[in-house]
Amino acid sequence: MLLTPKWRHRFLRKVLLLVFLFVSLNGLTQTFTFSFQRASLAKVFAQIEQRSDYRFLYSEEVLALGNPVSFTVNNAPLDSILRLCFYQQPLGYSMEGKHIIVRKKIIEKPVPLARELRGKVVNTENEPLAGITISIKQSGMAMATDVHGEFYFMNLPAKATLLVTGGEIVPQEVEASPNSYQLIVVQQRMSVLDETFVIAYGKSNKRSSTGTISSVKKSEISKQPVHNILSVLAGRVSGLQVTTVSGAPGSSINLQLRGINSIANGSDPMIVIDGIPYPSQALKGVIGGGAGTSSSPLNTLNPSDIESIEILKDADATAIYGSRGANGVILISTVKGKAGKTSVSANFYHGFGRITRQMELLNTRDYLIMRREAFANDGANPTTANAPDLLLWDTTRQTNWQSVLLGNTMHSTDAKVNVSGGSELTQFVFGLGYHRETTVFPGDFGDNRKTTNLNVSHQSADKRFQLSVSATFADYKNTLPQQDLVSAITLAPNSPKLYSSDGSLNWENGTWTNPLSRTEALFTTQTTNLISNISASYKLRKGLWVKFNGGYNRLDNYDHSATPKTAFNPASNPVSTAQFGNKHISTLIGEPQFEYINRFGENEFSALAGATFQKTSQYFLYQRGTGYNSDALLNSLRAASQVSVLSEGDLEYRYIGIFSRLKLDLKRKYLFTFTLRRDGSSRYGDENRFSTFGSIGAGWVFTNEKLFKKQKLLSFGKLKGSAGITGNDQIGDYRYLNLYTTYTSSYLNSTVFYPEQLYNPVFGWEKVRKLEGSLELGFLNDRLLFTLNYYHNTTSNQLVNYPLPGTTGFSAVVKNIPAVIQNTGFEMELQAKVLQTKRVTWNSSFNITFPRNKLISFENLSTSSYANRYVIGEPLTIAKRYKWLGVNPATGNHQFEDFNRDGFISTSGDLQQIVFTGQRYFGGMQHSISTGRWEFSVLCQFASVPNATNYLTAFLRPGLLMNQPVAVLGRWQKPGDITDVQRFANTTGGSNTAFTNYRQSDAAYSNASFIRVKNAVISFTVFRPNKQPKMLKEFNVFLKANNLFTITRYKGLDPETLTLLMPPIRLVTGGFQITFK
Amino acid sequence: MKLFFLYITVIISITSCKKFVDIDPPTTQLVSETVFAKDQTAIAAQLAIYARMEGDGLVYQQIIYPGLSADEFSNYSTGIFSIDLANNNLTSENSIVLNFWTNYYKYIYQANAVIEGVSNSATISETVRQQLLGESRFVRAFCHYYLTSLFGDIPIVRNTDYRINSQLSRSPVTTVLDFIEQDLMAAISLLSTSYLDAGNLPSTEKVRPNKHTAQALLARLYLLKGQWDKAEESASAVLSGNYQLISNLDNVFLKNSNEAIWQLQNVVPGYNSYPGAQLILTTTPNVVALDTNLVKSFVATDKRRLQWVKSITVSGRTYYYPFKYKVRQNASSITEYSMIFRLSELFLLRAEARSRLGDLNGAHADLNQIRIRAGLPALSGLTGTVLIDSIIQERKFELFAESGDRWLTLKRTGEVNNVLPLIKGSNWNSTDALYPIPLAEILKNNQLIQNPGY
Repeated sequence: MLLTPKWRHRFLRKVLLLVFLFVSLNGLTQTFTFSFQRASLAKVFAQIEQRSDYRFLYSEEVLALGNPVSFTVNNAPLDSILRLCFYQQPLGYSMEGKHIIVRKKIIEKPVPLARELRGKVVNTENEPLAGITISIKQSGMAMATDVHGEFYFMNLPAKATLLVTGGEIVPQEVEASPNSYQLIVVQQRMSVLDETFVIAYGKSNKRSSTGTISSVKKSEISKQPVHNILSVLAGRVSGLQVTTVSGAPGSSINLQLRGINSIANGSDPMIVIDGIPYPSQALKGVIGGGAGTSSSPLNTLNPSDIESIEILKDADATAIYGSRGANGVILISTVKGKAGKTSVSANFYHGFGRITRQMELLNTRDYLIMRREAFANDGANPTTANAPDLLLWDTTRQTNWQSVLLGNTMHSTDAKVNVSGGSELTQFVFGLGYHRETTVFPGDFGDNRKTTNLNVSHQSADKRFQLSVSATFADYKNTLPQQDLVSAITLAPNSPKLYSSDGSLNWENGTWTNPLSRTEALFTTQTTNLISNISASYKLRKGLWVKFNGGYNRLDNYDHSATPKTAFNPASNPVSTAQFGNKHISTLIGEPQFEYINRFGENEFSALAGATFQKTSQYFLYQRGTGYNSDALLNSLRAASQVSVLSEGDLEYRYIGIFSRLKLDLKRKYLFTFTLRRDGSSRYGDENRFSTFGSIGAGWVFTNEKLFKKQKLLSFGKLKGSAGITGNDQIGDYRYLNLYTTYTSSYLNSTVFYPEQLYNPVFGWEKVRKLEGSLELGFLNDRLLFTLNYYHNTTSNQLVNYPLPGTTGFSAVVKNIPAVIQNTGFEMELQAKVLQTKRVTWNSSFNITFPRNKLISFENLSTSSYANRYVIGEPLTIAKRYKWLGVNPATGNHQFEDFNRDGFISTSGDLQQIVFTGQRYFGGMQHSISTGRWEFSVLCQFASVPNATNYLTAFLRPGLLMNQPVAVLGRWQKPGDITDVQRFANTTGGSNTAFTNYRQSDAAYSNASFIRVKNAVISFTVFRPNKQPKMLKEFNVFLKANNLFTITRYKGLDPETLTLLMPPIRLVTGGFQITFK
Repeated sequence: MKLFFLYITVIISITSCKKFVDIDPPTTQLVSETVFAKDQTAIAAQLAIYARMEGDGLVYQQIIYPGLSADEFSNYSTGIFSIDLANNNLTSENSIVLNFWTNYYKYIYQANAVIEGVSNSATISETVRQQLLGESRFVRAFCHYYLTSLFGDIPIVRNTDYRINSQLSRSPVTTVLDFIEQDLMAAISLLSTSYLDAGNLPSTEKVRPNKHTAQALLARLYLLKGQWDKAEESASAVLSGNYQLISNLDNVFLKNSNEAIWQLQNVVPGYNSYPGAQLILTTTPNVVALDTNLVKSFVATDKRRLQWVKSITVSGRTYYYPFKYKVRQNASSITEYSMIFRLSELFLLRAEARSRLGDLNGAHADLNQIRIRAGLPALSGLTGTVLIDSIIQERKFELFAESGDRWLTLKRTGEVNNVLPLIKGSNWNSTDALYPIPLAEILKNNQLIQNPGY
């Protein structure tokens, strides 16, 4: 850690006092070297007397009041040692020649005064503030800070209090610390419009930006006890759809910004952490993920290490990322050190969670009625092979499998310790974090994450050179059943007991698959992730900077799936297998840049030019071991008698780009931005390797026109727009090569090669043309802010992993298809300071997005693989299904519209009913109220989803050996019955075909609109700022909850994760945050 | 101005850095040109087809699933797709059916890739080129043969071009059979008579198809087409080869047995052979067991009943399973291979062809070869349909649980609509003789028209 001596002093003495002590070197000439552990004062004094001619005078009773002391000193002068001895003692001392007199402390001895004070005023972003008035309360002396935010006083009175005031800051009183460089951090009372946020290669704010950018700050992030940082974005950002794939710990989060730009594939926004592109996709391994999902690499990121997340949306904001900006860009910035007193803060919470909903399924009585009726309808007799539930199992048993398999309480624990501080020139932050989450499954599953982060920033005294270095390291481990237990909810309610009398899994003579066998087969993933970066700049001359951003990111991933014998019926002589996956991805990036900023008058001009060199290497090796003698050794590859390599790969991705950006701000009224980028990517074949992207943005702050100066209502108004082209290269490596891969096993003692992929040597860049117009208004001194965006994006030359029928030998190929997709939409955001009184602050925000997606054209759609998926003029989010016409009262089977009137219901002609599966609108609303020591906050997320696949994805025809929703009891029983539920049948009378068609019909979709209380927080400040002990600056206790409740009519488990995977968890946590300075 | 120069410098330095994004092919894979540049690697590309067939469990699946559709097996799986298959109640979403479809077309792609690769290679030896062309065309014929047997009209895939192959419509069965015939004729002229190893040298390992293998499939094809004389001729060509029936039934399925015409070598760690690993029961079956009626229909003294059928009794219930493969798992060294073609079938095939041609003596002679080995009395003096029925009956006992022969034979002879209704009851519809074209395929290629009844 780079610390000036002065800062080292402050840092250590005030903060790590409990650990060790340090004393500055001045005072008397004789020095001492001592080490004491909880030594009595008498002992310390005796030691000093032994080594010097000083003598202590004290009475025994007085000394008995003293506390034992611990310290270690090296060559320390006497006065330092005395200070250590008397630190926070109820005793004081005075020196008379060689005699030291110890007394009971009566009053604090006044510290000798110095008379000089130098300092600096900065905002919470550590940016210097000019023109701030500093006055001394006692003497009335006053001065203003200079352009560097600095001030200087001489001849301070004995006890001085500084009053810090200014037009745009919250007034503040601070005690002067004379003879030092005093840093005063003030809250800027600025409008949200002036809050800086991170943009590509720079910073901006809402007032002067021409791009459309949403920002989520640390204060918001810390409200949510989340595992994955991306979860925080749900409901907070307009235009961004955030979908939790599964409620199992470590599950991926799907993000989609402003609709689907690309058919079928590659709609992930680009994720950039501190300037380094980060894989947003799960580390897909050959051996799968736990509980049916894949683990997101962002699990390695500790949300409390994140300072802010910026979502770049339009062409103006994203075009500088060129070929990778098409789906938007998410910039994640980690916390940076801040100048000021060293502070140590600790945050801890623990919580409990359960699933939010259960489906209402048949009880045993009704289930048996269904089964028997099905056999009766079939005219068949149940046999032990097809009806063990009726003939072999206890028909009086009843189990609610949802409670048994998903009904446990999960725990979430999080702890974080942070130390930060620094001087004017050098700042640091260092943190340690731990997080653990378990599951609602029976058994010991869950994940844990250990993280550490460090950032050091430094600038030279002349401020020409600036350097910031960050590193975060995470160790993440997740253990889950290989298969999600959710699908086991369809077990018959009278299924046998889970355990035999001897405690082993009960297989009921092989007549069922014990669902707990899934808890035997484990999938463990372990990831370590180092994210490190450096950002340096040097001022060549006034306004001209040369900069360099560089980073190295390494993900090491170890997957292990162990399938012991115990996961199977022992009677089937199962064998144990284990699979091992090792993978690492490393990304090295370097971005040299020049930036030029010049102000002339009220105008500002800035230019940025730079280049990106990126190299990403990936290696993976997946192996399988079989022939284990013992299940205890499934973690060992060596213990396997046979080992085979399932897959191996060594991939390289290189990327180069040059970019430039010009910005012009004329009189704070007219804003222009131009960006241009040329990119090359190794993912393309020789001919198509390079492409050019760019954008133009313009803004007009009309409230800065004279016309608006007189009125008070409208405090801010800006019209802006942008147009540009971005691209997409999410296609995987080497797809232009015809590659052969070694098969797992040899044949005729020879290794053999098979073609791994269909290749296409000539695919080209997909391009998204983005258009944007927006209106930003601030009313009543920006108390109410309103933003309305309209976007209009079109994608052409679609580059997709084109699904192919099996007759091609493969399931897909990368190719360009002549299709044009249009995404348009309105986004509206409102931010209001509803109440702002001395006692109560109430802030609200609301956002809503109305996305529209449309397939504009698609050459030869009717002969393509997409003929049965898309319709020109309709959104991509549709499904073509049969039109369900209810149950035929004569036959009791589902019937469907015969669109082509050929007398049959067939896939070729009758899948004509268009079902819209997208979201009509979505958004969120947040209220935060603080009053006195209390703070309340609630965030609601809502979405209008008219159709989503319902429970039928998990349930087959009623009548089979499988439980059903209670609604099936309204089934057809005899000719003439009018109902929506088909007759119970196993095999006969066309019931299975009818039900297969039913699952392929519009009836397999139901409304999945929901309103969810995504997050709620109650926080209480235990210590008021002015009553606390000296070191304790802040102590809060809080309750935080996620997914508190959900309002929905969805027919299935959950409207977000649908019915096949673990629903989201209702998590309620309690904890505290404590800060020492 | 200074800035402008900086900018220009950057641009120039970047454009000269074009090489930065030139990358080498991955070190863990080969590009196609490299594969077909040398004999050894080109052969490895062909062998990969066989390795994947065995690794995918093709032989096993071809045994049990058509066997369930017919009358050979009883289903014990609780999976809906197996239940539907056993009840002849298939839906177009059936994943087992999809699996057959995608796997066979996957091998066809590989075969076409080898055909194109060796045809375009200027550096491989002529002998290897000939042999690999022969093997690939045989494989292509073999896969089309099973596809058309299961699905009826099917798309014919002649090359690796996905642009063409993704838009193919179904060709009528007769066109498919003609295509198979052409491939087999070509394969016969190209393939070596001896079995070859990975270095293309003669070998005792019968795990690459040879000329006789192609002739065996051609004989089957002619029987299917009703061209009895050509079937007789092709079968005779195989029977004149260096093969013989093995008297001890326990040894028929041993690797490289004298009776084997083409086998696949095991590639799954821990297995002896794929069918052995899956078919031999050690407890209550959870996939399939032999149909009890089939077991009961054997003559008590039939050695095939005694040596090729075994049973296990769990909780008082007896389950039968085919015991042609004797070793289930974890043999110290591999003793059996997955059988695809063996000599018995050719005798029965020729017997049928001869009987249809009126060569009754020849037919009896061929039939009795099989009966006598099974310990059954020789038949004599049969004529017409009685003789043909006896031969078909013999196929049922000789070739049960092999290659789905029962299902294919019932369909070939049209007996399927007479035999199965008695067993399957009202579940049986005449349209069940063809599997449905998988829904997923139709959704991706709307040139595909579904079979009637689905």
